[in-house]
Amino acid sequence: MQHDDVKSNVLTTTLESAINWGRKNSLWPMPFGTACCGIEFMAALAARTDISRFGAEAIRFSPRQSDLLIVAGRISIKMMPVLIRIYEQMPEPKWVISMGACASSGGVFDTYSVIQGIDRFIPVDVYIPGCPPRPEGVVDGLIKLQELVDKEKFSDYAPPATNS
Amino acid sequence: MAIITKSYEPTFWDKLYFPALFKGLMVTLRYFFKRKVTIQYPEEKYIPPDGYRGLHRLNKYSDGRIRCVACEMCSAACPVDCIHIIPGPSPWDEGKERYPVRFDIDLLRCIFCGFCEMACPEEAIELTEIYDFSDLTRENLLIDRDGLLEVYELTKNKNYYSQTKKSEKSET
Repeated sequence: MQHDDVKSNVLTTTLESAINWGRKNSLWPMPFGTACCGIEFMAALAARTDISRFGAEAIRFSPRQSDLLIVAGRISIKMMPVLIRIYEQMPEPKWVISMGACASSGGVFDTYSVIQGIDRFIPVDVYIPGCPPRPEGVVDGLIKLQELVDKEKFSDYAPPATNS
Repeated sequence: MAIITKSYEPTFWDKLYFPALFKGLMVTLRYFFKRKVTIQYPEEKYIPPDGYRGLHRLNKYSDGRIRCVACEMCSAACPVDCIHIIPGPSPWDEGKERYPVRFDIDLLRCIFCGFCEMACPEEAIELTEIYDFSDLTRENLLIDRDGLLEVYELTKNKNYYSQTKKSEKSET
């Protein structure tokens, strides 16, 4: 059956696309705002570019209740173990948005103490360029992430085959 | 010793709680009929003012020659060193002798300060009004010369979001 047919027919939908639909429309972000990008993320939450239109308004400051980590701001070497711990505490279907130049590549802080891109340590799904990005840029990243979540398969989460 | 005095004794009307509840709901109702501030983003775009610093572009002359002469002033002015230029001899007979063989900008490193367009003596590099260009991979956000020229074609005469005409650039 074609994927478009599945979407148009609710009764014969697969469990996979039903769950993906639920997941993509209820992304609960965990903001890790360490700099000005965090302020701009708050602007994305506010009334003008309301990200609750995409089901992502439930900001959880507890990693165990969230499934989307938004890293907004520069991460120093001392902060990285904290971020990795937070990432590992999040329950499994989890995604990461790297927001802004500092989180994505270190930005203007090309120094020994700032991580030159968080994807050296944790996997990143969506990169949002900008210093800081506009709230619309954040929404654009969120829409791209929703498209990514929609295409996910259960087999992506299967444990790796062991050679025994 | 301090004596706590109650300045206000709740009356029967206060103890009902419903008047206060409806008072609060009236605020909600008032905002319901006010002008909406939300921009319905993917359908309705925010139009940045003139001079907004978004995605870069490389300008061209009207006959298709690239304005850039690969003098590397922009990469020297860049505070984050995100512009990488490899110069080469120009393929065109008229005009300047140099032109960029490669012109790569690391958009994830860029902080959109606009120093490059200020440093440029040929008005070749310019920042456009495009603000939504997030992507899934790091490689897609490395924009090269052809990508920058593509952005020029998108934003040459009209605003990328409002589709209104821009004033024509003077030929020098």
